[in-house]
Formats: sequence, structure tokens, C-alpha cells
Amino acid sequence: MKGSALLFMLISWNLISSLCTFCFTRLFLADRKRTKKTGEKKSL
Amino acid sequence: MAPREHWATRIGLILAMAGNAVGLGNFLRFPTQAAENGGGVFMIPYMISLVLIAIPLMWVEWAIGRYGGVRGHGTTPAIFKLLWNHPLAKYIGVLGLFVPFVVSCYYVYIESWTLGYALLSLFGALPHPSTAELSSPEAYLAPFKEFLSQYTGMGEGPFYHPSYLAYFFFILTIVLNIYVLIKGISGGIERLAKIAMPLLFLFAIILLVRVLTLETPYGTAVAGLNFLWEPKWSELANPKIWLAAAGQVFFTLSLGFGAIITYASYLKRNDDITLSALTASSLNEAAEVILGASIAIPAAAAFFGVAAAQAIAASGAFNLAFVSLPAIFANIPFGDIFGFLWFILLFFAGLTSSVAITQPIIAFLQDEFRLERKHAVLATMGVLFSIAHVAIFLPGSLDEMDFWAGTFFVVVFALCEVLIFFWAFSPSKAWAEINRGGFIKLPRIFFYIMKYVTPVFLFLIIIWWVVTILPSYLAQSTWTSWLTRQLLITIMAALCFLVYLQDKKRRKRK
Repeated sequence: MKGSALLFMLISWNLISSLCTFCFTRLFLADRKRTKKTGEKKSL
Repeated sequence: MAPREHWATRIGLILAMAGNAVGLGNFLRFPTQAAENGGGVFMIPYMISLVLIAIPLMWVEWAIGRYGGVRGHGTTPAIFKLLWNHPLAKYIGVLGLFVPFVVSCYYVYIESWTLGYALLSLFGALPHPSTAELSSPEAYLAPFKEFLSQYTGMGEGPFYHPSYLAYFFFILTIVLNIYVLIKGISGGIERLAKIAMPLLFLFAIILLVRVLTLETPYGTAVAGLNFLWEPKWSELANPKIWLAAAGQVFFTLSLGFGAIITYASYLKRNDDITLSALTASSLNEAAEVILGASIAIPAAAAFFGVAAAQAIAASGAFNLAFVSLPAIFANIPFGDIFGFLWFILLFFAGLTSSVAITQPIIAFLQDEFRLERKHAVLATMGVLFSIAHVAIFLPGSLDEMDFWAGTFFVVVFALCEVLIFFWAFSPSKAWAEINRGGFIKLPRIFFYIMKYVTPVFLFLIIIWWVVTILPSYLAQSTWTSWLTRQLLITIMAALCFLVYLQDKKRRKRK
């Protein structure tokens, strides 16, 4: 694959994948924190 | 009167919201738009528009929906009245019913094609021309074009004549939609999203792996990725690309349709908005930028060569989905199975979106007229089924509905949402409403983006549209265009009348 095309593709894929990872990690952490605090067994 | 429904789980809500956003456009519109508008550099205005318009609007729509839902309303005529105490507010809110309803009238029909093609592909009933004809892509694609034309009946003559099979799958799709909608928010829509969305991603990954390993004497998938992602820097200065990117992020997240507002109205008062909305958007972007871009165009380039893939991309999304892709799958090992996966993936994307855009009218009948869910669903789907016949049989009607409801009024409605929420309601209250219960706190800069940048951007899109596209479009009008426009005006008037009736009833009760 051509360098510039590959670069654009990988940067775009990375941005989106990082956003997804950030969101799901924060969701799981927030959910775990709330479960601990309230004691209710409510999963995602 | 039963209490208002709620989402059972957060992941169910996020998948349902992502299901609403992930539609046929992710797999068909995005790659063709990127290919035609600068290749790799298309992603620069795309990402900027995502941050400046799409994600802020997403937060605004979620917040408007939750605000209304807590007060017992799931649709914009009543919610806008709560936000802005002005006689006009509820009539502006009618757009939040008009847009999703009109779009659903033709969307369900297109969705039924994907179901029909999926089953036809599975049973090997799609054309299987010989590879000897591959030297001329035009000749090789001809039987598939002919098949689509016979299936949909979209040929010459004053009316379309769809095949019995197309009509049968249309009815089947309507029945499936009714089945999901009648089961309710958590029992129907949420459960569907929890099954359909993981399957959609799984099928897309299987197809992606197959496509990327596709190699023929005419080309490879890598050549297709090169064609799609090669940055054409000179194009970056062209305003057309910026508007195309803004339009793409807008439509891909299904903003301005009213469906997000209705879905968010089933949240509880302190449920998170900020992170959940961002997660749903990120899932949609993954489906679009990673999966959507890596299937259709690379497959076309591998099978027909880059030059033919360029022509296919320019011929539009329908050709890509219903002509080129089945043609490719017809001549690869286990092609019927891959064809089935492709169309069932599109069907899942379509079904999760169609239940979302039908929901606002159902919520309106339930919340404002106290109809039971079952009756509200049957009434909505009955009217939808009748109006869909105009799109099925009247040439140009589907495009006309898409032009007004699916293109113009979504942007107008989105502008109204931001102005009413951030200007008429109160900027500080709007900001507090978005952040209440949030798992992440939004940076303050988004306050200014939502208040100033997003409305200005939307306003510019409308002005550009009115100046450059509208005059030439109106000049090409035919008698079927005018007939469809009359129908759209009738639908709008009927919805305004319902809102008037509801308001009168409410005042009487007071």
C-alpha cells in the first residue's frame, strides 16, 4: 500500500479505535464505581 | 395509564442508539463520499465536523430527550413547548415527527430489498454470470442491473411495477418491524439491538477479512484501499469537500431525525448522557470508518480493477450495494454465503434504524393521546404501510421524500433544536442539563461550540443548499414530484392538526 494512503488510513482507524477504547473503559470504570458505592448489582 | 418505559441496561441503550445511527449509509454512502471527495484528506474535514457539529448535536439531542422524558413527553412538539413557552414552539416540534415518519415510509421499503436479496443470495437465486465476461465490467454487471430493475420494477412507464417477491419481502419487513415495536422499548428495541448489533459487527469483520484477501487478475483489495485513502491535497481547499464531510457526519449519526430525542426520553433523570452519547457515536464511527470503508470499494477494485471501481463509486450507493457487490460474490468460493452475510448485515443495520425512526410517532400517540402501545404501533404502521405505496409505485417519489425529509428538513430541524435548547431555553440550564449525572465532565469549550459554532455551521449548510442545490432541483420537477410534495404537505398538516388537538385537550384538562 502507498505510504500516504496507509498513513491516512491508520491515523483514522487509530483515532476511532482510541475513542472506542476510552469510552468503554470509562463506562466500565464508572459502572464498577457505582456498583461499589450503592451496593446494587446493576451491570452495564 | 402504565408508567413510562425505561431502558433496562446501559449497554442496551448504547447499542440501540448505535443501531439507530448505523444504517445503510455507513457501508454505502461513506466510502463513495470519501472516494469522490479527496480520498484520505476527506477525513480532515470529516473529523473536524464530527467534533464541531455531530458530537455536540448528539449531546444536545440526548439532553433534550431526557429533559422531556422525565416530564412525561418523548417527542418534540411537547418538549419544545416545555423548553420555549411560545405558541410556535410546538409547531416547530412537528418537524421531529414529520422527518422520521416520512423517512420511515420509504426506508422500510429499501430495507426490505436487503432482506429479499439476503435470502435470494442464500438460496443461490441471484444471477451467476460466467467469469469470461469479466473483461468487460459493463457486460458482467448487466444481468445484476436487469435483476434489480425487475425486482423493484423501476423501469420506464408512468408507474413502477415491483415483483411479487419484492412486495412479499416488503410486507415481511413491515411485520418484523411491528413485532419488535409492539414488544416495547426494553423488550423489543433493546433486545433487538443486543442481538443485531454484535452480529452486524461480526458479519462485517468476516466480510472485511474476505475482501482484504481478495485477489483477481484485474486487481487487489489493497489497490482499492489505495484508491480510497490516497490523499488528494489539492482538493482540501474545495468548499464542496467540507460540505460533503459535514453532511456525511450529520447523516451518519442520524441527527435531526427526532429518533435520538425519543430514545433518550426513556432515560431516568440522573442517567449519564455525556459518556453514553459519545460511546454510541464512537461505535457508529467504527462501523463507518473502519468497516464501512474496507468492504464495498476495495472489493470492487479487487474484482473489476481500480478504474472500474471509480466508475462504480460514482454510480451511487444503490448500484454498489445491489449490483456490484452481488456480482462480486457471484464468482468467489462460497459467494452465496458471503452475499447473504452482506445483505443480512445491511438488513440488521436497516432494521435497527427503521424501528428507531418509527418510534417518535408511536411515542407521540402514547404520551399525548394516551394510546396503548399496541394500538399506537398498529396505527403508525398502518399509515406507514399505506404511504409507502406511493414510494413503491410512483416514479421519483422515493427520491423526492428523501430530498425533503431525509436531507433538507433534518438540517433545519437540527438548527431549531440547538437554537431552542441553547438560546430560547437558557444556555446555562442547557449546559447543566447535559452534564447532570454525566460520567465524564465536558470541557467548557463545548459550551461555546454548541452555542455559537454548531448553529452557524448548520445555518451555512442550509444557505449553501438553498443557493446551490435547490434551484436546479426544482427546475427538474415532474408531475410525480409535485404529487409527492402535495402528499408531504398533507402529512405535515395532519401532524400539525394532531398537535393542535392535543394542545386543546391539554388546556381543557387544566
